Amino acid sequence: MSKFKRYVWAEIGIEFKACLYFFAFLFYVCMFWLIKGEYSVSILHMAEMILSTYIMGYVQVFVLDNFDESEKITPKTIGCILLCTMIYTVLHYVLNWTDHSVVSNGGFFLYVLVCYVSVFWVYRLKRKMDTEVLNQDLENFKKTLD
Amino acid sequence: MKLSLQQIDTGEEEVIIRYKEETEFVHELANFVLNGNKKIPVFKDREQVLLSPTDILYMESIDRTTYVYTGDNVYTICMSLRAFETVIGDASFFRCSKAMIINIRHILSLKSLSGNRIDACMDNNEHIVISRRYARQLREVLRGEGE
Repeated sequence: MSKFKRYVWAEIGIEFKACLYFFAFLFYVCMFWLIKGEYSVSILHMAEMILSTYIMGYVQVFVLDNFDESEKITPKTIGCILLCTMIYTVLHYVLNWTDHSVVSNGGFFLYVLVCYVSVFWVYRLKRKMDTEVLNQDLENFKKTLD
Repeated sequence: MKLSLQQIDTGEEEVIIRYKEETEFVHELANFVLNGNKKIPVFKDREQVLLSPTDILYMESIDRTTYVYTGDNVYTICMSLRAFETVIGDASFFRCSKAMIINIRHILSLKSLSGNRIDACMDNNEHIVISRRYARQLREVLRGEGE
């Protein structure tokens, strides 16, 4: 595969990740403001969220070994999940996506943590289902050879 | 062993092997029926051996030498992987990387890995990781969509 194709493939993966986490964070922020009685979210905050998830996508893929798609949970995976969750929580606090209260920031930390664990399990479940399909196809193929 | 030959006018030609015990000879006979006498010359310690393609687990090209792996032996063959593919023309052999061909018959199980890669566990419990590019082709071959 050419370098360009490899770059495009990685880029698509990163953008998919960015969208996935962006919508997850946007949901949290929207729910926060909805509970507070507000019906709008700042476009600037949304831009900050998408930009941060895009940059973090690169970090996850090229620096942290794409940990949310890893085969199993290792101490390194847990470390990466905690590190990224903390970075997002700091960004959430500094960029003031909700407010500076302990409840909203603590809630955001837990929410991001749950997001990462959920994404990890979803990818794992997807691979498990794919493995079943692969082995069924393998069995069928072997039957055609006999 | 008694040999019976029966001429038929219609229907599919069939060979039935009736055995009391599943011996190596029975396997060889079955292999012969399935693959004819297509055997390939390989070398072990400079000695030539004729090997049935169905016995091959996988083949690997390292530094312009092609190695043939069976369950318990490693041979060399005077043929490139490309030439082997052309000569053998067998659907059960799959090019799983630039330098490797595996025999799908000897894949015990497959496992989906992250990044759309596939881990193939062979009969001898060796694991071969197939990259995304070749994994896609393998999926197509297994579904009968390959070339």
